[in-house]
Amino acid sequence: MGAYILKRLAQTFVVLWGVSLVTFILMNVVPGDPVLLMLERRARPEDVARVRHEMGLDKPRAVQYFEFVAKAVRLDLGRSYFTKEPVTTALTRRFGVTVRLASLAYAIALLLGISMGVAAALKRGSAFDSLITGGAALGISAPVFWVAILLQIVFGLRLAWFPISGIRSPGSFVLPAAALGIRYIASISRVTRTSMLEVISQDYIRTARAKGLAEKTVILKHALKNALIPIITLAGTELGNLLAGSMLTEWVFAIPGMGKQMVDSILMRDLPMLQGTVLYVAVIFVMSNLVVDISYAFIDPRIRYSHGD
Amino acid sequence: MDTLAVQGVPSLLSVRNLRVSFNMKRGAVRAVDDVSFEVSRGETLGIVGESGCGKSVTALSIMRLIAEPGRIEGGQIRYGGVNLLDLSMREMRGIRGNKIAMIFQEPMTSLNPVLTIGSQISEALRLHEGLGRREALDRAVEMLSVVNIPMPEKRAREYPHQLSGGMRQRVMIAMALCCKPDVLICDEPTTALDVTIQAQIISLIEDLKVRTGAAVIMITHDLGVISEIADKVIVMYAGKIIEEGGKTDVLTNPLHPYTEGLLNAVPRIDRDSDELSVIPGMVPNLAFLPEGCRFRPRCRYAREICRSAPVKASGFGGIAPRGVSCWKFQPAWGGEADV
Repeated sequence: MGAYILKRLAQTFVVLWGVSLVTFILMNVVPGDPVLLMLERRARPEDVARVRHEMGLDKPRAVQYFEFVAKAVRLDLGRSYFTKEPVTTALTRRFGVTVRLASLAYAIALLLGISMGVAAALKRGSAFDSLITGGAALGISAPVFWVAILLQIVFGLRLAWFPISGIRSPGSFVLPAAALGIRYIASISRVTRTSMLEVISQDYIRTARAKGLAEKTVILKHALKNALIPIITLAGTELGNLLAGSMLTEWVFAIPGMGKQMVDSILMRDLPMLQGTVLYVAVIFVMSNLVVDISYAFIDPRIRYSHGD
Repeated sequence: MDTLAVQGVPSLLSVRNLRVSFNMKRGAVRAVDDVSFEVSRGETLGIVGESGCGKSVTALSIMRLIAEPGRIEGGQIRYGGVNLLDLSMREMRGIRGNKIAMIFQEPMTSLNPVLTIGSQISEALRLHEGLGRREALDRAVEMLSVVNIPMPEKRAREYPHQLSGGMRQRVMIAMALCCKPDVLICDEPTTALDVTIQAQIISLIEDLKVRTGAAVIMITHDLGVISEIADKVIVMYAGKIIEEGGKTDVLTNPLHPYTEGLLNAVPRIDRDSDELSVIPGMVPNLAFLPEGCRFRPRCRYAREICRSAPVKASGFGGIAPRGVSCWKFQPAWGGEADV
């Protein structure tokens, strides 16, 4: 198992290197010049050249890239072109906000998604099941910005239960987390339902019942543990999506997190900030996949033993 | 030789007029129709028949494990003076795995892949005998050695995928017998295993039956298994019992044309024949049963009278009560012409 984790960690570095290269190339092929965006339109050519030199943008592209990589391995991602703040500092601050938002949404999604999926599977064909599956279809297809605005109108303006923007109090996270989480509640409940339905028709569930076990034990101990395998796959990729995909939610609710940071830096062509953000997001994705693979092994002994332990 | 104690010995489990139906789109289909039998302590009852004849549904009904859209419509399943069909689910769970245990056909899929062998066996012990975790696990290891599994301590810590098919079926047997049940129901326990392992499993069940004094209900389509282990036999066809009696009586002197056909279809090493005998036609779809005798369309003796439901004829001597549902054994048969 240890060797497996080390191997996966080594693969992570290769992926991150690829991500940094692709981001760098993309930023350099799209039109627009950050120096011209920073300076006024009437700036003299010599000033433009001076700023370009100060920012290191007059060096060959390959040199620029290798300088970036050399610093990045020391966790120095450069400074923002505009605020001059070190990228790592800005991202760490904003990452904290996104993590708070995403973990609340994730907790809601896992808790509600799994319990609703299990309940729907156990009541298969009932009105409750139809409600859950219908609601899930709606939850998956509703665009997040629409849900967000709807929540703002109903719970923020009409009922005035929660603030509709900014992060002034812990209550500020409720509506954004709900807006962000609904899609994932829907997708997790659907996968849980399907997976549970498959598992509860298995022979070993009949064996568990034949032993005289209470239905609660049959479902929670014998069925759910088996049903969790596809749920973990989804929950793992969704964790990455949640952290990386909170852009729209953060925009609608004006939350200063990673998502908003990424959009800002694209609009401003703030290359160091953008590269840093993309790298962060890539790290989150790769790490959540790693966590998924490791948790499979904990849940399913067949995977644990196939790695030779 | 039939070892059965039979007439006079009070039965341990008796099934009376059991009817089980499945609600399908085209209406209810009766998978078990008016089935009655009983089994006493230390006795082995064999239930034979083709796939879909209602053997497994009968077994699952005894455990009250029939899942939707199936439903026990009527009848009685009496164990220890109580009709199991009157018990609450909670009371029934106290019987399952404790007083009446079951072994299933597929050892490969009947064990939970994510739980260790030890924990799967000890679960029933903790539940029914109130043992602590450590104590239950020790008993589980003990049970593994009873069913002749080598290195039981090691095996108890392993998962089902690390065991062979025969070994897994031994685990199933250990699991079923750990609470010393009065009745052991074996639903085709050897079908998925190769022949040498089959023989080992059959002799293990036989051996444990003698040791514990449990009553065994052996469900199979394999007449060889019946001849090995059963004391008395019931033959089922399309949801009904068509013949019953002591093993030797049924196997050497079959009365019902279907039983006769089944026995003729068994290849015999002592007969010089190139062709295997077959029963023409197919088992009827339970939703479209023929009128009268259900075997009539496939029966070589069928006559006009067989269009009415046959009445059970009893008697015929033998150790166990003998019965057959066929017009051939009714006085009305004489004088009727073949169809």
